[in-house]
Amino acid sequence: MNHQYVLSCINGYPPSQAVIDYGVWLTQKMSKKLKLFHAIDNQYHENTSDLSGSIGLGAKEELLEEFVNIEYEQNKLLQKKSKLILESGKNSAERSGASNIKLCSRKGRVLDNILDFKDDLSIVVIGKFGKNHQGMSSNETPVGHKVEGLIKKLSVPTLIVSEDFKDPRSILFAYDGSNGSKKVLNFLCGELKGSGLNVELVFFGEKNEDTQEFLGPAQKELERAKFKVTAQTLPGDANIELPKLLEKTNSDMLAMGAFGHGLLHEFFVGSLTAKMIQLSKKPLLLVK
Amino acid sequence: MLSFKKSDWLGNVRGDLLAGIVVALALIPEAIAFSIIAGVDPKVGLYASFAMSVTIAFVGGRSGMISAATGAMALLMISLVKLHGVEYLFAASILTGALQIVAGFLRLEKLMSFVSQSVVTGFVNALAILIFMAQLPELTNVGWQVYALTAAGLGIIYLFPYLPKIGKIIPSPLVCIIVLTAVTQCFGVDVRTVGDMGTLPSSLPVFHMPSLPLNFDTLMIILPFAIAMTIVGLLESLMTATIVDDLTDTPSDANRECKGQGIANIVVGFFGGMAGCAMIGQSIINVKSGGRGRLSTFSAGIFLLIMVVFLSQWLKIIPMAALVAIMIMVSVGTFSWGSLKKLKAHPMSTNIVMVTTVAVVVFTHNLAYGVFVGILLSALFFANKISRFMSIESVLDDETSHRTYNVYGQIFFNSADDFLNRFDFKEVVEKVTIDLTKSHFWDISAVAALDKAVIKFRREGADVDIIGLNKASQTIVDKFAVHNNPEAIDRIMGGH
Repeated sequence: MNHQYVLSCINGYPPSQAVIDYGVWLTQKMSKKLKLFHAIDNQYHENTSDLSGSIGLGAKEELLEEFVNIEYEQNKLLQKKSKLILESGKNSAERSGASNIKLCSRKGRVLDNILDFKDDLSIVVIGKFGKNHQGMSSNETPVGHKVEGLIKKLSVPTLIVSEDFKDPRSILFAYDGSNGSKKVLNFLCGELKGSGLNVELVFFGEKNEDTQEFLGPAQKELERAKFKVTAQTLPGDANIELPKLLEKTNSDMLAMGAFGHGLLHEFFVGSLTAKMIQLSKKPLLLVK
Repeated sequence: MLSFKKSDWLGNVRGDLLAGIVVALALIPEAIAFSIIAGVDPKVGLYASFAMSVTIAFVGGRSGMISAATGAMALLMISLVKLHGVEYLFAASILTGALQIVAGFLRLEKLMSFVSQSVVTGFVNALAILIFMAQLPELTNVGWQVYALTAAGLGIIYLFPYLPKIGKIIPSPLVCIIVLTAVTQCFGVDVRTVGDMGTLPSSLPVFHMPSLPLNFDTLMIILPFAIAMTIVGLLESLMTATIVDDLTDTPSDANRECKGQGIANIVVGFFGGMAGCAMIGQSIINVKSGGRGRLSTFSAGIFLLIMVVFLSQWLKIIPMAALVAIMIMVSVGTFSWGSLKKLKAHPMSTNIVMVTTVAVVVFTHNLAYGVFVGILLSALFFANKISRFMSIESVLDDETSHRTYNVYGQIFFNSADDFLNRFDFKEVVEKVTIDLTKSHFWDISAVAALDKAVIKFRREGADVDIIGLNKASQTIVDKFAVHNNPEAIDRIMGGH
């Protein structure tokens, strides 16, 4: 069956707990299964420093054996660690009321792996790290380190979380009629249908017939999916006003279409999505 | 075509830079030694090594693999240089590059799948022997001092790494060069030095258009050499790439490597260098020293140039014995000693392929011939093995005088005769059924053999029935069979 999982990407560092909790929350709202995922990034890291520059009898065989032994030990350890991370994640998810949890551990980068099995996923939950996260060993790329790249390449809805779980009651939905925001609308109306959440639908720009034309149907569609909707058109530029609004509002989560503009626009104007990923302390629901 | 992938360049900066220095030290002796073999000034090989490793850093398909002026290629150029001069060598290098790019676009790297493990082992061993043999001129008709120095050099190279701490920090080939140079200078030992071997680079390489007539005759002179170099260069590069793949447990892009080798050789040719390819020994040294990224290849070239151009005054006084010692190390390290141990365990056919590959290369000094013979032998041995996967059982029904032959296995050119001989044409029977359900027909030889069998049975007065030609065989039979075609019968029976 396709799109059967909520995928929580964890790595044992603090946001992982929030990633699990939001994952559990989503599985309950969407009646999907939870899958906890940990990527072991075992790319080459300098571990031998033999600069003798001399190669003796059977250099290749000897060297290969040496590398195999070193990497065997390292990867054994990494695998053990990965197992522990997933097991403790499973325990904590079960405490939060999830059952039938799948665990998945794979080698390589988080993004590459998710792309490999994205057809199974209905939503991805990842954590966001600040720069220079403490206690991070070089063997681990923080999940969310390359959040932007992930969202750009992945067409699956993604929830980015950074702070502890807070049961979301209301979602601020910045709707601009772009492809991404339409996908968000579809996701909300499809997967979170009947969840009873409040949706604060906003559009930035002038209030005229054109904007009403797409804001109205969006509102209706949300209402049909049993959301309690308040819709408003706000003046000003979303780039400036959205971060301010997110600070002020009582909504617990921001939903928006991601990276809707082309590369040129992104280069000159900057990307609102990237900005929101950086600024927001509340969970972000993004779809490209 | 250029690669600027960040992780390839900056993923391992410290390891790559240090490995680059170590590798540069192992590149210099090979470049000088084989320039001499090829009959050109050492600067031709040194410029080539610089240009090759720097270019391939950007265009290669296997990060961390070292390419430069190599012995395998130098051995192919000897008569070109002798007969026509070095300008033709530059042109041949450029043409080699162009042919390698064409090979890349034709995706000829896929042909590597025909090169069996034993051919690869044979190639590697032959290469090691060639590198070793190339050192012999420096070791014949010379005074005892040379032997003493070479032995001392080897001693330093192999034993220095065992010293605590510094052994793993300072490259032992460097120690070998410095100690032997110091000894010869201090005690005034009169031995051949690098300076005696020809011109060393005194400036950075500059763009140089080969000065020769651009006509058909020139092309015909350089083409045979370029073809040989194209094949050997790609073979050695792709084989080295698989070795680096194994060591680092990372994949490489063989097609990109073909085109990359081509581009690098074109650049080399225009900068007054000789064509080169990947080097097994130096690539192993690079990986061992911690080199993984493109930066290691790039820095090896840059360090080589710095050492050669700015230290050429010092380079001149290095005794050849020091370089010979380093090349003996490279040769010993390249040779697959494990393959000798495995001779006992491996089947005879495998051993024959390996040993023949080595023998042909050592005899012809051309790795391409060795590989060609090796591939041919492997194919023949394989065909022979497969042809044994054939058997025929038969049952006779006495009452109806009806014999049924059940054919199992593979029928093709090599097993066709055997197939035919298994039928008993002398037997007096009314009816013959050949059941091919469990067999496979591969080619027209198989079909022809079946035709012959049918015709012979008919001539003996038996009715023949063929059943169960499976689908794969059916297509071949449909296309080539003649036994329903009276005209063709004469042809296949050849006047019987």
